Amino acid sequence: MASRPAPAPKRPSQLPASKPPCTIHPSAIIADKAQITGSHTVEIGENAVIHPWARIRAEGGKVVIGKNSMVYEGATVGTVDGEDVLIGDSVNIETGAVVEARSVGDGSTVEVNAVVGKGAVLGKWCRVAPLECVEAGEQLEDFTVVYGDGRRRVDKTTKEHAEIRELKRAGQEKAVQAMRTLIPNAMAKWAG
Amino acid sequence: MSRPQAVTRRSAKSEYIETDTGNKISRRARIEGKQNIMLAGKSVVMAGAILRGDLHRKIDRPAEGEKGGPITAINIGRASVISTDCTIRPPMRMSRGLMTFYPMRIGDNVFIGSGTHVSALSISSHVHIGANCVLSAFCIIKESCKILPDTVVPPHMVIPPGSVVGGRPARVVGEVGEGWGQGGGGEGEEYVEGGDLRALVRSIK
Repeated sequence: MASRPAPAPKRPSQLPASKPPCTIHPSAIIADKAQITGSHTVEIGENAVIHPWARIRAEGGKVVIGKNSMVYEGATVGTVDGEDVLIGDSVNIETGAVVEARSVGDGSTVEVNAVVGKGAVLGKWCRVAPLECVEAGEQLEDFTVVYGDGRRRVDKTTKEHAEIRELKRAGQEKAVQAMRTLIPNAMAKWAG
Repeated sequence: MSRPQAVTRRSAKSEYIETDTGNKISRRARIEGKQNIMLAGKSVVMAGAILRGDLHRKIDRPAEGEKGGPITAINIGRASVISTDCTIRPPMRMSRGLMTFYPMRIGDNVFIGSGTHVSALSISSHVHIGANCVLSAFCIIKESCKILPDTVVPPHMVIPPGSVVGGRPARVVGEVGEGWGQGGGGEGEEYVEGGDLRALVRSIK
């Protein structure tokens, strides 16, 4: 390592950051251009998909990503100086979202460019609409939808109908299957 | 013998790679699956833009004779500008029991503001999209529309031609006038929204 020249500052995506100790399930798909940095552990569950240019920062605490979850491009998961981040199963963290929550419950979706503050706790099947903000430390009950201008409501349809939850879960599995065929897996690069 | 200097470069590596059809693609653009992305000509992709050409429909029949070649995931027309830090991602939905991606079509003279996320199914020509917008999956934007900055267009919304759209969720808040897009396009003139973007493209270095 001593002979490696200093990394060029102009290309952040190729900066050789510290590779954290990762526990990656063999069926997870991690794109080559994904960025996993930090010193705490990163656990990636079964069938999870990490898209190119997704960033997982395990600098403040460990990051756990549940099974069938997807972290899309440009999304940032993990804190720099906070605590652990636990992402549940079948969770979608969409493009550009910044998730520093303490935990995101199963089935939740954090949509494009949303921001979830440090230490927030999202229940199961929650949904944060695009460009929305969940404040630090805020707790969202199960089935909460955060939408337009900071309003909150409860997603009764998903709450009351178990078959909708099943369909969503099956849909997420199908989406993960589709990604599996399209994104070449570079898991070996990150495997512990 | 001193080693001869490296090939004399021009002052610095230019920001944009220029193709023979006149497209300008930034070196810092993040493009996946570039063989599935078609840029018609004289279009610009600025730094930090993410183009997911790797998310495309998978066809099962390999040598049927019909579609042996590459599948286009993203089609961008002439003189369109994709500003910095945008994300262009083909929309995905369940079709016949499988999740598939649909090809995305962006028309000519489309200006996409910085930081926007585009998952629309199609964007017609002469559309101006402001900064930090979100165009969710399968929305359809017809000709000559203007999308105000910070708008969130919900999935499957169809925006009729000539409308001004804004808000979260997006609502039609007005109509572009009849002179939309006129008056620009000449050399050295101010860039006009919805107008001919070729002059703008030429001025981007």
